[in-house]
Amino acid sequence: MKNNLTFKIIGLMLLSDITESAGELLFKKAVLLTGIDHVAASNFITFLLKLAATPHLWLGILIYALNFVLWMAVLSRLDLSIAFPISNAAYVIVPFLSMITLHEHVPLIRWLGAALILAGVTLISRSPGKETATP
Amino acid sequence: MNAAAFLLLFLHQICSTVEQVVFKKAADRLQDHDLKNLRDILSFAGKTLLIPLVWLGFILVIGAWVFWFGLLTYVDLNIAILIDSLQYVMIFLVSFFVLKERIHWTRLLGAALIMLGVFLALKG
Repeated sequence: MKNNLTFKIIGLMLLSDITESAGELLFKKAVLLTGIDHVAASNFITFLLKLAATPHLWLGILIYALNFVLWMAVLSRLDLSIAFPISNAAYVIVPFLSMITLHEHVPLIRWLGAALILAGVTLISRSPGKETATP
Repeated sequence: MNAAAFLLLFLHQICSTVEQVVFKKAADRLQDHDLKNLRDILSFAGKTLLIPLVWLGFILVIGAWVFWFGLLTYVDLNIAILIDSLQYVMIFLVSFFVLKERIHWTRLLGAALIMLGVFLALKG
């Protein structure tokens, strides 16, 4: 039954992509809330303490833990070589959601870069070789 | 992207690359388990925590996150996500030059596309 793409597995993969992106967005929001720009060695500890005081960081960690469980559930039903390229959708989903929720500016040339990266990562993770890719 | 941001990215990627190797080595020490019920799962988790390498892995996870958060004070999330793909290039270089593994040409092409993509992402 392994590698059988059912609606349940597709749903799990979608949830895995969504939780991964949500976790990243929450982390960035937590960093923005510290009000610290360009952290240096001198204020790194202050930065981490401020970060730990934001609820966004802890919610992000919780969602990441959920993402880990979902990813394991996907892997128990699919081989890594099939599941892995799907997890790369984050290279497109995260910039898209950063634009909408964090109001980040993503110029056209960066989308072109994202497309090349997605192609490159897919090629690397699907190429024949004795070593296997890890998430 | 300035030198400090690149240093944070580099430290993040070192931690997360070593973390993968450490967890893989730790997993190799565990035998196959049938995880049928909660008791099996708890016993498996207990055995996992007895492996010192797992704790080293946890420390590396925290390190990788701390450096990642530092990087996010320098760049937008959309840029950070894209340049993080350089980790594949790093693993590729280590496999080739350090582990002397044979590399398939499609992998070389993949690494080149990632580097070109990152270059464009940073130019934008």
